[in-house]
Amino acid sequence: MFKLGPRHLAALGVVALAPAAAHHSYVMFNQNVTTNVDAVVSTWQFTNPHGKLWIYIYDASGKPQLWALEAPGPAQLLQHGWDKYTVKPGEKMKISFHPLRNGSHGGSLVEIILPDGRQFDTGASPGGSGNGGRGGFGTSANPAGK
Amino acid sequence: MKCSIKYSLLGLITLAISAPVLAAPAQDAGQIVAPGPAPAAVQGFVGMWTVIKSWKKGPVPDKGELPLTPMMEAKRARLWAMDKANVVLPGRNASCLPGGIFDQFTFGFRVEANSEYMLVIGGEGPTLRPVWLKKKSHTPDNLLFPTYQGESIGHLEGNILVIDTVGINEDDEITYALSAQDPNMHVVEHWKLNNLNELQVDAWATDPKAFYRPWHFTMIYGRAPLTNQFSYCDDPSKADELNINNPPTDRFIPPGADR
Repeated sequence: MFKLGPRHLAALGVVALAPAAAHHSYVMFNQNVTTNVDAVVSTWQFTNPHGKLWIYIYDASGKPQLWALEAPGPAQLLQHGWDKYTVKPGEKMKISFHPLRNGSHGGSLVEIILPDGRQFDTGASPGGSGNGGRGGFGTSANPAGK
Repeated sequence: MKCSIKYSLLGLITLAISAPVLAAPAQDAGQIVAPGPAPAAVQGFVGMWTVIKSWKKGPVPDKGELPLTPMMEAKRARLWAMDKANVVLPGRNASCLPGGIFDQFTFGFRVEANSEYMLVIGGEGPTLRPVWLKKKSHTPDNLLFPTYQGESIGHLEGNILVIDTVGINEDDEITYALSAQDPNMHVVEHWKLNNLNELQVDAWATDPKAFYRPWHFTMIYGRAPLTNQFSYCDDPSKADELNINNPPTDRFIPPGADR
């Protein structure tokens, strides 16, 4: 059972009062679950309205499975230090994301750790100001209640 | 000799008279005038602004809460139920639509200005909102057509720019998946610089069908570096929500993966 912690409440306090909400809901992503994986980058789309990271995750049989992870748009990503070349096709890295609730191969990108140890956060975790912020903008005004 | 001096003088006078005309754009003099510089107080708003705080504690008790009418509360509940059922909601959730005036508040914007208008360029949606600085009244109702950004006119009261907006498209989202309900929706904003790098916008939106009282909110923006971030639907899928079944073809595919 998910319980609101101080961090979540703080996030609500910050975002609850914005005038308008995001383009789409983040209910489809299970923000109570953060999946951490080793992955290989397929491609990185640094585009509006969302960045999108396509990765391969190896399943139990060793077969690479394609996943799509949604990120904030460039305006937000730039504030978190991302750019068009932050990740490169074929690169291996550690990735955290909130998975889709329906079990499909997708999620909301939270963070990456590059082989050289550099970390890039999208702000998609609760309390963040990026992806979660978009979903969470206007908490009180959001039918999704986020 | 006299004759040539006379003609030279005539030529100079002619040139002097015609010079301003030659320098002006090729159009009827007096009808269209090239804009001059913006008023000093408006020039201070020029630049890129990103949200740093969505509400500032102040004298208003509502804290930015949406004062929805029962009809709108019911609508929001229906949307919430659809959302929980993973149904893609209509409007901007299903496709790329202009952000509109409220999207600009949410995601920040870039401002350019001249003597005629202040142009607010939407942060994430392709919305261009001119705030007319010399217009004294809105376009008559019979000529006003709805747009996502509405028609905004502004005037300075000291260093505060007071903006009045009408003509907002009924499909324009005031918040996630909830759109304005009344074609007579009316938004009043107060723009002021708290300091050189901090912009505060207070806004009051009136929509009798959507709100049981004016909705007031305050946004605080920080000055940001100029970047090219104003197009909207560059994603090849032309959708907003994540589509995992539409991967780019020119991607890296490791050995053993399905193509």
